[in-house]
Amino acid sequence: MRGTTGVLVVLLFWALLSRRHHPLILPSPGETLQAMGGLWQSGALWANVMITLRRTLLGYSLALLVGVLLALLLKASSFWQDFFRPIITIIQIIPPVLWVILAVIWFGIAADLTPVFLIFIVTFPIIFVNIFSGLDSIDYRLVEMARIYRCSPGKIITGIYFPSLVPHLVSAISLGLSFAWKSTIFAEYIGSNSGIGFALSRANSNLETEKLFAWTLLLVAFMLVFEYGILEALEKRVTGWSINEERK
Amino acid sequence: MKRGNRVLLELKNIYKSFRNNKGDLRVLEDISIKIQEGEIVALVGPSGCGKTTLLNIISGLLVPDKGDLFLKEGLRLAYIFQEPRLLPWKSVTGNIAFVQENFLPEEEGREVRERLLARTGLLDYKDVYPAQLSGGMKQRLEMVRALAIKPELVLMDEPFKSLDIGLKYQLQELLLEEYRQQAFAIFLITHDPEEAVLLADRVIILSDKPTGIRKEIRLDIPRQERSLKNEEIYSKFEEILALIL
Repeated sequence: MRGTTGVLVVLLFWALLSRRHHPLILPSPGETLQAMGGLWQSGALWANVMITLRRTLLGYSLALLVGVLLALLLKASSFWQDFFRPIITIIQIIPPVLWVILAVIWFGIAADLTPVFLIFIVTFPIIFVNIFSGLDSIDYRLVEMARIYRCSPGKIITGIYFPSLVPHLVSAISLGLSFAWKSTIFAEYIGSNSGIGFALSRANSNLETEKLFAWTLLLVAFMLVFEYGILEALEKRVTGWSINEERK
Repeated sequence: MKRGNRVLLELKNIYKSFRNNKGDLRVLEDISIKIQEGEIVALVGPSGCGKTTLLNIISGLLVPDKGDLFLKEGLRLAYIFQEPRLLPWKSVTGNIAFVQENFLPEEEGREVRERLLARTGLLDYKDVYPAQLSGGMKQRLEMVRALAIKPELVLMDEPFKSLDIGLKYQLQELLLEEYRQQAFAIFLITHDPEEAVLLADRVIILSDKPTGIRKEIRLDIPRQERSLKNEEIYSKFEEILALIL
């Protein structure tokens, strides 16, 4: 309720401010919606959203897969842990803009590969770090209990390891996704000829500020649906058992 | 009550030490213990003397440096931990079923489970998660889980240590009642001589580190007649107390 009020206040401010500025500087909410309608009618909206979504999902799935597998591998072997830890840290230190430049040089402008590569390189360390620390949180005393009661290794994995990791996995997915989304837009802005990021860059160079706002609004709406509609519901589902109300 | 004289568990000359930065810490030295079907054996000793190490060796979590461990083939072993070890993501029923599945057919498992839950006042909470249970309820659940596999031997690591006196007697009563029905053997670790003389057929007293067996005391008085007011029981109580102080 308070959150909705906050958003409404921002919208109100925006509407008031836009009255005092030229649409080129700050288009009004109405002009922005109109621009969005135009994009919808021309088919540009749907087409670009699908392209961006496809790239994000592709790059992000890859990052999830590699991040989780690498965390498991490194946890199991101290050799690979020593081997990979500094590499991952270096990847994280390098600013994303450098990765985009390199990706454009390596993969070119037209290909999907540039945004997919950026999403992957930005998000897989996030996934990795979260899952790796999640593995530390497994309560070994529960594993001992299960071994005493003759649970098979398979049952220990599905009954103890997996449920311990799921909350970390969900929070890693949620954290990484906003990075993934921003990375796609960024990569498309600089190094692509399609997708929402490219549409933003074109609106910018054509001085169509109302389109810039329309795309931004769309991005925000998209992220909100993901964050509150899907991920939060998922998080509640997998951590439903942890509600801490003691009964006397 | 079924009381055979089949040996469930035998430890022969067990030695165990742990390596730390100061060298070897000798924990167990030359421990030999035998437990037969349906027996209650209490192990009393100063705190930190390696009692839990001994249980970990019996339950297979640790391997002794020297000595032999014999367990009856296919021995059905239950363990009641000092702090309940419950799976937070499983309900009361789920926690019990998780271990029962390894030993009992589903139908029988459910029967035993519901009887024990009803007996401990937990039946109304069978679909609740551990986070929503009080400390006493978790301890009861810990005991129910152990007894619900129809064990042959129950290992207990100071299960009554941190409980208030009401709950302690309630759990002891439940344990003895189930013991009479199911005829399992109990290997109870405790620091409390009173607990030992009231519950056990035999009390094994350990010395301080490195831990060896100091004395074994046999109690032949029927359990129903035991109380510290009974002269013989009280003299055994004093004897144990003198040995561990």
